[in-house]
Amino acid sequence: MKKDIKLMISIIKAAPQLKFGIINTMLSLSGGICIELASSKFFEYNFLGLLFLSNATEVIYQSIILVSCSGLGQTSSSAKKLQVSFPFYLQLLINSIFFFFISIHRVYIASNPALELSMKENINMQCFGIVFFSALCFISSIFNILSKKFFSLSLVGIISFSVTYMIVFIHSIKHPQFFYNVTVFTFPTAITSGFLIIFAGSLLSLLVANLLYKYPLSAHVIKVNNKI
Amino acid sequence: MKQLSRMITAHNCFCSFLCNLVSLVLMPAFLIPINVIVMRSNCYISLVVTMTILAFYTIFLDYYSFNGITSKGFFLGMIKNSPYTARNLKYAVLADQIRRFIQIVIPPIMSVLIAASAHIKGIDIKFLVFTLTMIFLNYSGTTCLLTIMRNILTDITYALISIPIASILGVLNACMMFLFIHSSIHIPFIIWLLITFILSVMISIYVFRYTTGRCLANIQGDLT
Repeated sequence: MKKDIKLMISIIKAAPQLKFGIINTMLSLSGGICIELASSKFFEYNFLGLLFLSNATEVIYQSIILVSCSGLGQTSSSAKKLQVSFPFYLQLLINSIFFFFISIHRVYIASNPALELSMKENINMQCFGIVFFSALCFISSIFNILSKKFFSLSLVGIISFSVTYMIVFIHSIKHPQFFYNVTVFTFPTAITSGFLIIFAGSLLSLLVANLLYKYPLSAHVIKVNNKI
Repeated sequence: MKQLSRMITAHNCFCSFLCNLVSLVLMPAFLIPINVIVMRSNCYISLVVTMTILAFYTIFLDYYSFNGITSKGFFLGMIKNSPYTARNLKYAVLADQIRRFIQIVIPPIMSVLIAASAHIKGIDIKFLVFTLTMIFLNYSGTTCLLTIMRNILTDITYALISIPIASILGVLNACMMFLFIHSSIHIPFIIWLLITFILSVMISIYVFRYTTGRCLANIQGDLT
């Protein structure tokens, strides 16, 4: 396992246009952490920072898939493992670290109820946030694979997803009572179910990557490798 | 006439038929009814919403067509083997700018004409000047942003960086609307038309020179 992680990091270093990917990751990480820390004062922005944090790990799969298209990646003995199993180990590790950071912060927020919310309503709302983050991780890890194979179709999917996300976000600002009335979670059940959802997401992405291994990559994705 | 047909062939080497169809036919057919329906309540807000959606769409479309043309060592394929490579590239970049201008012009002008024929309230000379200002502002803004985004070739990075950058244009559109509506700022509104017109002309000339220069430098570097 330790050997695999060393190999993965050495492969990621060889990816083309890694600089832009790191800038992108840093932007989403810093934005997500800032909004997450600010959500203790302004409970309206509970759901915005989670989107940034769930997208921070996408650069790993992208850089590994770009390296595996090259001649060196194709001829190596671990050519299939590169696309099928390696990236999801790292994603699971980093996503679970984010998840525990968020769950600890949400427990801290619930101990100091803000504004006009009562204790029970606040706990329900924070539990919903924890489960929502794990659902976002689940969607992003599977969408990552599908977008590399079916590029044009996945664009339609991401537009419809972002429209529904915007509606949920505006709804959460206008009517927050919708979220703390419906959810019946407590903190132990929310944290265990959330972690199980993240784990199931990485398992399912292993399965999907194995199924779609022989399907060719979309031409728009490997545009970078055409450089001389 | 000969030049026009050459321009179209050079442009279609990069941009596929489906992209042209969506950008020149389907997108106006989708946007004009929305614009006219929202115009019944407020003219200014409907135009701002339409132009912002168009700006997002224009920046996303460029990933399919001309993305990567200025990046170092980009693979141009069969185009490089032609004896008229430099001429074809110049025609292609010029035709792309003309196509983008037409793509931005069609929805607001058509919807204003339909609204004027249907006697919708609030259409006067001030609103027509506002429409022209928004067209020039969006054309210059998208052209400027695309030249930066053409150096990013990876898909997820492109998507996640282009959305915050394109939302800057939406903010600019909203700011322009407030400058036109509020008469508390004592500046004649015709001045914004002049400023955006000069800006769009300058940016289009600079972008044309920069893009063709970078392209030709790449090709000459490969041939030697």
